[in-house]
Formats: sequence, structure tokens, C-alpha cells
Amino acid sequence: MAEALAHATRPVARPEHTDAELAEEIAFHLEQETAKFIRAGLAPDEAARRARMAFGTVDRFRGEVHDARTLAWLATLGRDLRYAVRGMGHRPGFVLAILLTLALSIGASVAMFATSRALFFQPLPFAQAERLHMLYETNPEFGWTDAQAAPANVLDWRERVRAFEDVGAYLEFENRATYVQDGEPHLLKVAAVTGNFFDILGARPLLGRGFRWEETWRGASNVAVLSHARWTATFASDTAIIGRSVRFGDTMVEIVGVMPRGFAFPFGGTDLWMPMGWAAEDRAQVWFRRAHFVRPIAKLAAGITAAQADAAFQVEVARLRQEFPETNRVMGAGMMPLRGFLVRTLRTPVLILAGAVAVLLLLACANVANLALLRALGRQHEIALRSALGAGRARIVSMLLIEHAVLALLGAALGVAVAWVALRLLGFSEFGVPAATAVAFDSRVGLFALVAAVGCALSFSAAPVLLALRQGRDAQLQGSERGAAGGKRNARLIGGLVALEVALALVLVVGAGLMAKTALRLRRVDVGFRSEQVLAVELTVPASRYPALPQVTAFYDRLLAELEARPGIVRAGTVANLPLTGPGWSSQFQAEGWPADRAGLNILHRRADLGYFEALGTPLVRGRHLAPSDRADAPPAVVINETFAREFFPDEDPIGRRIAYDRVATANSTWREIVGIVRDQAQVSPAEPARAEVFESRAQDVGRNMWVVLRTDQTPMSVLPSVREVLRALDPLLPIATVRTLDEVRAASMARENTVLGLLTAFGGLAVVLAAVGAYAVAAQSVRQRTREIGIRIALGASSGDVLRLVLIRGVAFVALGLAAGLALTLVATRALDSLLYGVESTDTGTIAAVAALLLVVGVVACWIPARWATRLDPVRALKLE
Amino acid sequence: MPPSPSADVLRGTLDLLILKTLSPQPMHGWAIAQRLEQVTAEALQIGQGSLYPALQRLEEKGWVESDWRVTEQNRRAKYYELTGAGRRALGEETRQWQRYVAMVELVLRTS
Repeated sequence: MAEALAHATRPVARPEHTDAELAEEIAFHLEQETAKFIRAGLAPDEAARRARMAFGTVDRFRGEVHDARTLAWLATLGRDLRYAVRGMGHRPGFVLAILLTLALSIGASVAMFATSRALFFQPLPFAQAERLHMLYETNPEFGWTDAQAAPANVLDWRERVRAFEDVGAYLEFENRATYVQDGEPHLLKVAAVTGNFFDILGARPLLGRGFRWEETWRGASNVAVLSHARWTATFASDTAIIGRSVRFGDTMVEIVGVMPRGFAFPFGGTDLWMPMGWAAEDRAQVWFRRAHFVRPIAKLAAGITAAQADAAFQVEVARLRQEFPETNRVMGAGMMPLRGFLVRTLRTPVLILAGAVAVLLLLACANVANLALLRALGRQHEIALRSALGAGRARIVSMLLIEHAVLALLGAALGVAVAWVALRLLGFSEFGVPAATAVAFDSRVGLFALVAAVGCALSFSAAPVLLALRQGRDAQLQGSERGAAGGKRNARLIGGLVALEVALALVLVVGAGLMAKTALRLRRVDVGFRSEQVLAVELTVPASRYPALPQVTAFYDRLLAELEARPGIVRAGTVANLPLTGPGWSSQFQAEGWPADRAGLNILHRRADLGYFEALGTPLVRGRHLAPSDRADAPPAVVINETFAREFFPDEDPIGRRIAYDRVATANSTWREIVGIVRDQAQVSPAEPARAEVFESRAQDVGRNMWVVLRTDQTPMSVLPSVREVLRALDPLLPIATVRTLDEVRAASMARENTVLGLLTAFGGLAVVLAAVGAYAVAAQSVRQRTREIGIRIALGASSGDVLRLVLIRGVAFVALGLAAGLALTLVATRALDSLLYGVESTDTGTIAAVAALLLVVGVVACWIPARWATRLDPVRALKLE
Repeated sequence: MPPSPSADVLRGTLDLLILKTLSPQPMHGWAIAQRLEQVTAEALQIGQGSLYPALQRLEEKGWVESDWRVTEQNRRAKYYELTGAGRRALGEETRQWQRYVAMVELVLRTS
């Protein structure tokens, strides 16, 4: 028994023979035997035949002995694994090519999987997140589809809609608070929320408490909740902070709680949550129902479906329309699950990239299958020997599968590393991913990588396994004459894979090409200003030290004058919102002399000054610019953009006309005179047409939050130290909130397009390389298989041009086939890009033709290299070669 | 399934012949085949291919060792060599074989 066991396990311990060694050994034997017969005077062919006969049909007991043993399976597996690993060392180029292909494509898939899961599937870190819905307002007159809401409406919904357990709200823009520590001002990011905000989200503070509903309203004391990060960094994780009063800017604030680590809603990097602080009497004011500036979030009552809640909601919305016709006449509202709302702008680009990654993975599998197939062809003799020696089909197949599984698993492991690095380098933030979700590298991601690896291994093993089985059936040791039919079949298989690769590559590269064209077009759009060499610095002047317009104006006047005196700064100005960062504030207006029922809706307005237009190089079209003389003591002057003039004064001269920001003018309306027309500045993105906009003079309206823009004659960031010095001298307690160059702003306005472009370009580049390797492979195989034929042709006087053509035609034919198939695929697939394209159609013939031509050239070059070898064949050797 | 007796006998015989052939010096597979053919004057008709599974089996038993070396013609070939166990086994197998032959002869003579 013990002996039997020892016998059974021995091969595990001592696999003396590897099959490759055996193959070499037998090859040596046959060679010696053939040589012996040749020495005896036989013709080489006959000698080889006799040698094979002498070798005889090998009895199969070796195979039987191995396969019948109980533990043989393990032994075999161990040996095959070792063989697979050892074999890799012998073919570093082949293995490297496959591993690189797999690592990049599986890596891209893993990264997309982790991203999509975080965005669309991972549970939000809120209690009963499925009951959370965002509410929004709609207004067909203004073209609003998911607008922010007026606080008075939100308060009414909260009280009236029974289907909502509670309704809260937050401000979608970040507030700022200054905290001075050791004489150094720090600017904190503040989220303004209603008192029930934390309760609705089910978020419990780590220390202290959240807010109470009453704290929504301005009261005797101010309260705030700290983020974990800020508590750690600024307050040294001091638990005694709870209940202490801290000065933020002008006000003393009592810290009532600290949130747990990782809680960052509604913005990433929120330092501080503070209640809205509305005055109780605001609720009755008209503006409270007219100004739309809060994001409402509702928690459905237990057991209520979204549809039921929406029905109940709509009833109240309709009732409010009747109760407050002045503000709500055409106002509608809707609701959307919280997650859907958070990812609403990301769905398209992420789906596009996921699709692209799937195409890439398929392409990679086709490529690896191709390489594996080529190698299997190169190993025909070895495989034939194995089957001759009695290796069962199952053994040969399992050997191939194990080899591929090892490769795929290694590739997947590398892929996970690639994904990890890529997600950290590229940054999830490029998508503007909401703070509530985060990419996790957990067991699910690992499982995905594993499944991808197994899928890859199976898909690229199919062809070589078929080949091996066929060989096992008909080759035996009868020599390596490749049957003409078998050779053709193999060539067709490889060619088909190449065609598939080319087709998929075409799709990816055309996608990249269309995005590149889009980016180029967007870059060329005249956005109405010159962004290069302009620095923008955001400041907020506090009401405590700058209580009214005169102080604010004096501060900015002096700041700009001192900045302009600094070297490197050519012109300085101020503006309330930078262009290309979103629409900012909007209003309705009434022009003097218009009938009472006519009004302009949804116009944008910003505070600015002459320096702003000059620093940005936005030209004046007609009239005059805002001037330093447009001060508090002068009549209010405004400048409008071209779209405003075209839209509201198509047939008359707007200059000299007066407007008021009221739908219906009253005795209290402030009338502002239009003094000039400036070129349109793009407000949201280069792709979106400019909207009608008015610029007021900053010296006539208080603007506490302003951007100082500086045209420089050097790298814009290099003047930042000057800015800090000037600011420190003027007001050491005034922190800089944000610093951006306008080039960055411009790039950020195309971030989505640029991200998709960058990734598609990377995928496309990889696809071209893979397809080239494939085309190279098909030509190389063709040369290998037809060596004898080519040798005969050369011997018969074929020119190298003839030979070149012979090989090229075969390879290029498959590339062309792939292009034809890819064209059809492309026309369907690129339609997904439609919503991201600008100034180019998804069926753009120029792009498609250029990419097809590029792939054809790449294909020809890839086939040309092996074709060159063929022309250099020595016919004598080629003919001798079996 | 028990192996057929003839295969078993052949296998045992072949093992013994290989061990004997290898006893003076290490050899590669083809040389063993040549030697066997010479010595038996080509009377023993075995497929040369059977040699390799047999060598593998002997190696698994630990009776021979193998090693890749270069031949006089500068070709790589796998040489086999008897191990100590192999030598002992050769002696034992030879004695067994002789006993077996003697026994068979005895039976053949008496009946």
C-alpha cells in the first residue's frame, strides 16, 4: 500500500521528463537514424521514411500509466504548470507581447468596471438611500428642465406633501468662510444646508450632534458641523471642540458636531456645514419664491413608491401654481432618485468608455488568439509527437488551456495594478464624480478581473485548441507535411482574426478621431476672449471690514492699481464670475418703453469693470465700455453682449435704452442705461452658444465675491507671489479663495470631451498596434507556410516584386476585409458619441476615410516586413527545408 | 485492467536489456537502440520508439539518470547512465531472469 502510494506520487516529486525534452530527444533519434540510412546510400526522403518506420508505432502504455493513476491528475497539472512557466522563460518576446496586451486591456476594463460600479451600483453611503430623491423645478418659458428650486416652494412642499417624510435642501454653490490661525487666513469650504439635512441622509455625526430644523432659520447663535478632515487638520482632533465658539470670518460660530471620516456631501472637500440662516420673515417675501437657488432633497415616507410620491407631489405643485401666479404661473417640478441625479451628466461618457473598453478587450483577445495560434502552428511537430507518444487529446487541450490560463491570470494581475495606477493618475475627478461615491478596489473588482482573465483565456484558447485537436487526429508522426487543406484552414482562421482586429480597431480609432476633431473645433471656437497668459484670483471681502459700496470700491481700485504697477502684470480687472464656468445669476428684465406684458426672461448678468474686458481682450462692438467714471454717484450704466442686442433689440439701437431687472417695472425699479455692446463671451462651454448677458459696473453694485483677472506678459502663475504680497500689504486677513489660469478654465470647460478624447486615443493607439501585430502575423504565417512554394517560384525566376505581391496580397486582403466590416460597425457604434461631438457628424466621411487609410497603410507595412523576408529566401535552402 | 502478459514480459525484458546495455558506459537513446540491434543481430524486433517510454520508466524508478550532453558531432543529446540502484537492480533482475529461464527450462525438460 505504502509502496503503491509512493509510486503514485512520485511523478509529482520528480517529473524527470518534460514533453518538450522528449520531443527533442526523439527528433535527435530520428535525425541520427535518417543519417544512418543516408550513409547507407538511401535518398534523403527514403532515409527519413525508413527511420520513421524503424521508430515504429509507439505503444501507448506511457500515456496509460500516467492517466490511470489516482494522483496522476495532480502530477500532470503540476508538471504542466511548471512547463507553462518554464516555457515562458524560453519565449520572452511572445510572453511579453501577450502579457502587455492583456495587462493593458484587462487593466482598462477593470478601471472602467470599478468606476461604473462606484457611479451606478455601489450603495450610496446614506441610510435608506433608495428613499432619497432629488426634487427640481421646471419652467418651459425659461427652458428649465432640472433647475434649482425657490426656497419658499421647498418649504411648502415639505409641509404639504404627505408622501414625503421630510424635505430638506442645500446650496449648490460652495460658500467660503475665513478661519485665521496664527495670523494666517485659511479659507474653508462651507456647505449651507437646512436643519434637517443630516437627518434626511441618515448621517450621524462622529461627535456632538447634527442640526435641528429650527436652526435653518437665523437665530440667536450660529452653529456649525466640522468635517473629519478639517477637525483633524485644523483642530488637532480635539474632542473638546464641541460646544466651543470659533470665529469664522465676521461671526462667532458654535461647533456642535464633527462628521465621520469620508462624509463629504454635497461637495468633495466640504470643511464645514452651516445652516441656511434665512430670516424668518423671508418666507413671506416674493423673492423667496422667485429666486431659484436651492437643491431640494426629499425622503419618501415609508412604504410609498416613487410614482405615488410624484403623484402627490404634482398635486401640490399645481396648487402652488394657482396660489402664487406671480411667481409660479408656469413653474413645474419633478423628482429623480438621488443617485440618478448625481450621475446624470456622467452616464453618457462612462457608457461610451465602457463600450470602448469592451471593444478593446475583444480586440486584445483576438490578438492573443492570433499569437497563440501562430505559436501552436510553430509547435505542430511537438504536438504531433505528443499525440504520437500517446498523450490523449484531453492532455493536449488541458496543457494548452493551462498555459493560457497562466498567461491570462498573470495578465489580469498586472491589469489590476494598471487599473489601480490609472485610476489614481487620471483621477476619478476628471469626470466630476460626485463626492458621495468613491471607487473601491475590493473583492468584487478582483472577481471581475478573474472572470475577465478566464474569459480571455477561454476565448483565445479556442483556435489553438481546435488546431491541436485536428492535428492530434490527422498528423500523428507521419511527418510535418502540412496538409494543403489544413494549411488553408489555419490561414483563414488567422486571417479572420486579423479582419476582426482591424474592424474593431477602426471603430476605436474613428471614435478617437471624431473626438479629436471635436476638441480641435472647440479649441478653435472664438469664445470672445483671449485666455492665454491670464491669471484669475478669487477674493471675498467681508462685510465687517468693508461694510458698504464705497469701502469695497476703494479696496478694489487700490488693489488693481497696485497690481498693475507690478512687473509682469499688464492689465488688471474684476468680474463676478469667470466666463466658461457656468451661467451664474440670471434675471428677467423690462426695457423702458416696452408694453407692460413684454419682458426679457432668463438673461444672465455679471458685475465687471473696464479692466476685465481689457485684460481678457474682449472687444467693444459699439458704444463705450464701462468706465471708471461709472461710480455710485453716476447714473447706473450697463454693457450688453451681442446676443442680448440681437435678441431683444433686433431692429433698433439698444444704446441709450434703459432696462430694469424686473418683469414688470415699478416705481422702485432701478433703471440702467445701456452704454455699449461687447463681443459675446462663451459662458458655459465653447460648444454652447452665448446667452443674452448684461454687465454692471462693480462700482455701482456691491460685489463681495469677485475674481481679479490679470493679463500678464509671462507665465501667468509667475505673478502669483506679487499678488500675495500686494494683498498682504492691503489686508493681511484676506485669503485667496481660488487661483486659476484662464487656460485652465478653458480646458476645464471641455474636460468631459478631453477625458473621453484622451482615453479613446489611448485605446485607439493600442488597437492600431494590436491590429498591426495581427496583420504581421498573418503575413508571416503565409511566408512560413509557403516557403517551399516561394522557393520554387524564385528558382523558376520569379522577381522579388512578384514574391512581394504574392505575400502582400494575402495579408492586405484580410486587412481590407476587416476595414469593410469595420465600416459597417463604425457607422452604428459612433452614433453613441453624438451627444459629445461638436462641429462634426458621427458619420464624418473625412475622419472615417483618413482612419481607414491609416489602418490600411499600417496593415501594408506590417505585411511588408515578412514579405521582404520571402524575397530574400535562398531557393536552395527553401526547397530543402521541410 | 491488468496489462496483457506479453506486454508485461516484453516490458520487463526490455528494461533488463537497457540496463545491461547501459552498464559499461552512458549512452544516448539512439546509441542504445543501435547497440541492441547489433548485439541481437537484429533478431529482436522492437520499435525503437518503445525505448523512450522504457527509459522514462527506468528513470522514474531511479535506476537511470539522464543528462543533456554534446555528441562527437556537436549535437545536443540526452545521455542515460546507470545509478547505484540501477546497478543493484541489474544484478537482481539478471539473477531473477536466470532463475526464470532455468525454471522454464526445467519445466520444458521434464514435461
